Amino acid sequence: MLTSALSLSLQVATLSTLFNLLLAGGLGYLLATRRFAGKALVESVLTLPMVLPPTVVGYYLLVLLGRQSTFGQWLEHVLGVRLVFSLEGAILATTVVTFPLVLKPARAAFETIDRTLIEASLTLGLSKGATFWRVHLPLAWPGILAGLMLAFARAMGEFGATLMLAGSIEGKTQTLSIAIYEAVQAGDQKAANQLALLTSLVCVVLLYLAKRVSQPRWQAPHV
Amino acid sequence: MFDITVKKRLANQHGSDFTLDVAIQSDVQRLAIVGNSGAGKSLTLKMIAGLLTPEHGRIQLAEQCLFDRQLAINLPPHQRQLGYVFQQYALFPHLTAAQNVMFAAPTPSSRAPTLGLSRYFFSKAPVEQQRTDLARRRLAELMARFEITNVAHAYPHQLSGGQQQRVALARALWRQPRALLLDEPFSALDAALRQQLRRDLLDCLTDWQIPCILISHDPEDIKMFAQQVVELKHGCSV
Repeated sequence: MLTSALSLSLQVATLSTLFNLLLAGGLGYLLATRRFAGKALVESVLTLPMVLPPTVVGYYLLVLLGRQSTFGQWLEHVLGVRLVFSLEGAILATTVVTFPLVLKPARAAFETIDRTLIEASLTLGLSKGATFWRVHLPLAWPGILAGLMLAFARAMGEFGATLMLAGSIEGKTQTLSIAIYEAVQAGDQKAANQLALLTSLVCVVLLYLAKRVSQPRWQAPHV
Repeated sequence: MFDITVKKRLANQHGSDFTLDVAIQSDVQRLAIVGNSGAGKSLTLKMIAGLLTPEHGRIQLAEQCLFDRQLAINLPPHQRQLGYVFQQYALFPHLTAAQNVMFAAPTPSSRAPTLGLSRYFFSKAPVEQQRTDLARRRLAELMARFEITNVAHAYPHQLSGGQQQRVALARALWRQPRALLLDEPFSALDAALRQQLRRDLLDCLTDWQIPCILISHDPEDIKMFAQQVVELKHGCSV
């Protein structure tokens, strides 16, 4: 139980973090650089998973993507993807819950880039695309990375939304935090202790790493 | 040399309108734009660089037309081949002095996303190697000229104001620009350093025959650089 739960948790956390690099990173860039109608509303909706109880997020996902819903049926029949009681469902739920944790710092990181640096890059002959890769991204990277680390740690502990959508199937969707709950419910103190310690250890290591990478050597040390 | 007619209406944050209406015709190599702050000097320079689009007019440097409303010509800033030196230098904080200077170099290692992985993915073809050698020579030449060889591997936050300025100038001159645009280039330096840098820059511009447009408040700058002075008042050239 211990190894399968740890491996599932790592899979879910790794994949959801990767998805959020693209999804939340990309949207963070757009929110920081574009102006459009209804931007404030879009932002509020995108931040929602951070303030809503995870069970509510999970419930929404269940209603929207479950086997009873039109979209869920389309997913299952056309694409052959079943999100309820599956690893894919756990990854999706975790991605949604951790999304704002990457979006916020990514957006802030892109927003704080000095506008004249972009102008300098353009006048030096780099196209807008090249400027994104060589100025925007490296400068925003420490902020994005800190967000990703936080999201990964949070993903390791994701419980509510995952349980609602993916359930608790040992060896399939039963991640560390869900396995702890099951162990306590079953009165298995030893397993609960082991699982809790393991989870804490992984999270401490991650937070320590996050702190180390968030200050690159090109930055002036904070006084 | 310079044939610039630009017009644009801008609404500022207080809601009041500001109209920029500038006409500059000049045959000199080095031109200065003077005027009070808020007269539209920087805006004019940004329009020449393509960072801001005028509503009407045309911008021509020597034989090259950069913008013409009537002919629907509007080269994007990265195709204008101009060197721009910003008031606060705008050095890339994540790159060393040398990397800043050769930012525009089209080598694979500098074009790829700079997350430090590129050298594992690209092996250099002979042509690329040749180009890299050329870039290295040019870098050495520019760094020597502006006396920044000894700080080549330092990051901008580790450089003094004068060194930052030298890096910014070397970077702007890397590609042999059609013209150099200077926005109050010496205003953040102390007097002794200013004089020294003026001389170094002037030598450079004369040696390489690069025309320049300079914005300045400083009469010393004007005296040393400008062969012609254009004054802006409330957005209009007089």
